[in-house]
Amino acid sequence: MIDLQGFGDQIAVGAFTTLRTAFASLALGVCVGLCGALAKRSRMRIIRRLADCYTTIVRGVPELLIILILYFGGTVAMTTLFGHYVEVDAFAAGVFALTIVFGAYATEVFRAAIQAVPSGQIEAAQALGLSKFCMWRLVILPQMWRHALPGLGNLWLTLLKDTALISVVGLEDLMRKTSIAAGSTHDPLTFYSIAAGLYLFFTSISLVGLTWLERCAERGVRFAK
Amino acid sequence: MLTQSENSQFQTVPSESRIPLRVKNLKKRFGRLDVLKGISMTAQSGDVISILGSSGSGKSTFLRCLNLLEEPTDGEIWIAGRHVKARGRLGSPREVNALRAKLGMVFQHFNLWSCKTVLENIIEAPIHVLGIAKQEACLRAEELLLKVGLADKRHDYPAHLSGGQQQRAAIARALAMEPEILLFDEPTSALDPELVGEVLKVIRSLADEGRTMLIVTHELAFARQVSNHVVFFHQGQVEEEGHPDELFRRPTSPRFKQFLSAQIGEGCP
Repeated sequence: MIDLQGFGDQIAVGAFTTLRTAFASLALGVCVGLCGALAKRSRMRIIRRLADCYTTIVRGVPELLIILILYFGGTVAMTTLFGHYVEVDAFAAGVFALTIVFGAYATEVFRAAIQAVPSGQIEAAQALGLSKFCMWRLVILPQMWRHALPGLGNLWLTLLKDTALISVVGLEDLMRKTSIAAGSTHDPLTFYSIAAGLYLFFTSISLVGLTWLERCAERGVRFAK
Repeated sequence: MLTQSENSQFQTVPSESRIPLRVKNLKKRFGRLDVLKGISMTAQSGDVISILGSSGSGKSTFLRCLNLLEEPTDGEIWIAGRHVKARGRLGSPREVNALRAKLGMVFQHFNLWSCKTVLENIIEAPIHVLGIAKQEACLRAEELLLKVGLADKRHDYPAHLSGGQQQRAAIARALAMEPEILLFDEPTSALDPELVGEVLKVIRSLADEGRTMLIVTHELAFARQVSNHVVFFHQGQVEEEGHPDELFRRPTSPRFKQFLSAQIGEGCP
């Protein structure tokens, strides 16, 4: 049996924080990604350009740097805003940074997914007089998921692992709790292996979930056997 | 008071409002290419108008301009007496959608929503555009499916149906909106030859019901049987038109003669 030397609780709390950060960033990041994809298809050039700038910058800079810049930038901005030193909450900063990163990649995934919906499907909705909102809700969104899911699945796995980067700004996540335990017990191998095992466990469960989601999204597309 | 009511009576034009479709000098340009060079057409209630022409003559573009899937460059359109398009000006999205709801479009490639069952394909627009309750929309859809012979396929997804079945479902979807006019854009061109008949049968039964229809087709025999007016398009203009019996027996335009002989040469009647 592995001896956790009393750090079991701490690691469980860290793992929970990791999951919380990842899910919050996923939910917000999907929204940002959808908005980004819509912006890239906008009729207004300025909006398209802004979306291009966003994805180019975020995808072109290492995630760790983005997290650091947003964290310290956030601190400076808040301090200027309130006139005295404000410490940015590590969880909020982490979710914000990961949302920005996830959103940029998701923008490209969604853009491609929307393009993959055949134009005839949209024309049928237009010809029946459906409003733009109904057309998105009934026709485009259900169909683009199928094209977006494989890409989103990859992004989700990356996101789950990227939460480890947030430990640099002090988020008490799985990574940070593990390194504290590793440092104080002088048994890094055991604790880092446990952390690796936990990340692998989370990603494996995710893969099962993703396969199930993809099967749902394929409804009506697969031919009857 | 009296004068006011007299006035309002004077302003309504009952004869005009009964005409399902009137098009005046419709033009469409794609870049430098003039696809429609001024088409005028009137469909009275119960008219079945077949539009013939070789590919690239603007037939499909004409239909797509009518429900504003393509924005006409110039010209005027009245649907059920309502002026919907005046010289390069479109209405608000709400007005455009209200107009489109009055026109039932059947596409060459069916365009059934692949993520929805046959029944869902039919009920979505009546629920969300006409505001019909779901239960009632389902009842209506069942009736329509019975009519096009697909009652047993209501819970199937389009991918599980043959082309002919998909097109019949698409016709039911268009009918569910109770449109003033049905527009058919080469409804049988994407079908295997043995599936053409079942779709034409449904269209013929709709013609017998007295529905107003515009049919772009390559099925000459069918056009001759089912329509009371045939229009031949050539290079974005109406080259020849008239009653089918007259037109097929004594074509006057050399281009229409050429078109007919080419089609007959291919084994069509």
